[in-house]
Amino acid sequence: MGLPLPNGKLAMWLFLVTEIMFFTALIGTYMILRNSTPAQKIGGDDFYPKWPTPHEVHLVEFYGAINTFVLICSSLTVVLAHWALMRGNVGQATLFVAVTLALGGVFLGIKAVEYKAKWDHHILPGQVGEKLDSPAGQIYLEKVAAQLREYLKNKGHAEKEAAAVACQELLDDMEFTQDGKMALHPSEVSKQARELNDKYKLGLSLGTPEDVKKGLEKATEEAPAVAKCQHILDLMAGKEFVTDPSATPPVKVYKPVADHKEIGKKINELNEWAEENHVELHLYPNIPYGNLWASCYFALTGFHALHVVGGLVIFVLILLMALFGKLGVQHGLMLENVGLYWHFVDIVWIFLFPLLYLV
Amino acid sequence: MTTQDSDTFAGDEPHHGPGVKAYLLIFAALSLFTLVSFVANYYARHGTITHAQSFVIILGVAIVKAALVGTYFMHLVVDWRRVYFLLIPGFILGTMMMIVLLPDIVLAWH
Repeated sequence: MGLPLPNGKLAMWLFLVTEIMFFTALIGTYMILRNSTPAQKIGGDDFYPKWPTPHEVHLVEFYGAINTFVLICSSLTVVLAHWALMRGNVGQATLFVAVTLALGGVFLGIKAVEYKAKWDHHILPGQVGEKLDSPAGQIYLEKVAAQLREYLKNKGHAEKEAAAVACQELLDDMEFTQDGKMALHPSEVSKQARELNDKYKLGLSLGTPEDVKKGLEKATEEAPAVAKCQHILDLMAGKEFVTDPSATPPVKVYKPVADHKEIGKKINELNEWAEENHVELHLYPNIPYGNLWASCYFALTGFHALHVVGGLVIFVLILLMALFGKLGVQHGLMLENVGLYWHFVDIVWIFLFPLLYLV
Repeated sequence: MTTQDSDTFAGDEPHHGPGVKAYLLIFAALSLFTLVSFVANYYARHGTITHAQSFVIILGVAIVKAALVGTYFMHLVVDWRRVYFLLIPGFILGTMMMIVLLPDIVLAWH
């Protein structure tokens, strides 16, 4: 062979060139799809669909930055493992390989947390609502309506709502007067709180009125969920009652079918409210280009994660060799080739992190 | 592994690449650059710098980071003359693959 390279290293570089083409195709497709979205308003429509922001798709930049740092650390440990092995220090090399394996595990763990957030919030290809006044949008709205009806059908939620209303009533009754005294006698507060505990199994603390108040406030947190769900269902069915300010006294009047965009906005608002108040309600979100974003995100990060898994399998094999006393200086080139692969995986992430999380 | 004999190139001693000091220095630079990307993104989100500025900074930093990993951790500082004939066609074809799609899909909108 006329090339000034060992066979193994030549094979690894050839393999990496095919990998460069593979990831360039993936990343390039992502960049083209992302930039092929309209850059300005279309006609007179005030609805300007933009590529989803990290916040909209529950992507946390900090996690991405941590994962970048983790992979950089693992790149360092893998070159140090090679460096140690070339000096005959098998023990130190084994330790560095073990640390690299652990760092790869941390990377995948953080990735799993991210994937779970996508799963929980239905940021998955085909599950995101986009243009709601289209046939696909109609199917999306029907799916959300089914979720809302399911939530309302749950007796536990209705009971929680009733309990919250009762708690709010007691809170109102307890309101302190201007001179700092409570409207109800503490013994009466305890008595009523005990009754609420018996009826709704709330587990309110019966200590000082302040303790009772804290428990009551917590119990009222989820109260508006049922009403909010019903409100969106009413909007979908074309039933919404709003106060007519011009009437004296103000009266509730019927509002015709809500605009599709308005319903989508309300669905997203309810999702945000549920998250802030720790309510277990995850409606399919309405995010323009959300399905395309999810497809790109899972394709890019999924293939990258598979490469990480491949690297970890190789590190486990090297550790097994070390365990059985088979690892030695003669494997320096093998470890260098594994390192080349691992650094390539790191370089891919170096580009994926800013493209997916930052710019 | 029993491939060592066939993997050792005659007359070419296996080099060790840069030393530990160089590796640690590159590691520190990579960490610092990651922080720079994160901070540039933060300032862009808060309107201190424009998105175009942050885009240039962040992608510039990514290219520098990739170059540092390639040059030192992947030993291209010593191996470049042996593998450039593999890498350069890959880069050219990769760039072309992206450019050929631009006029119809992207540029039509802008």
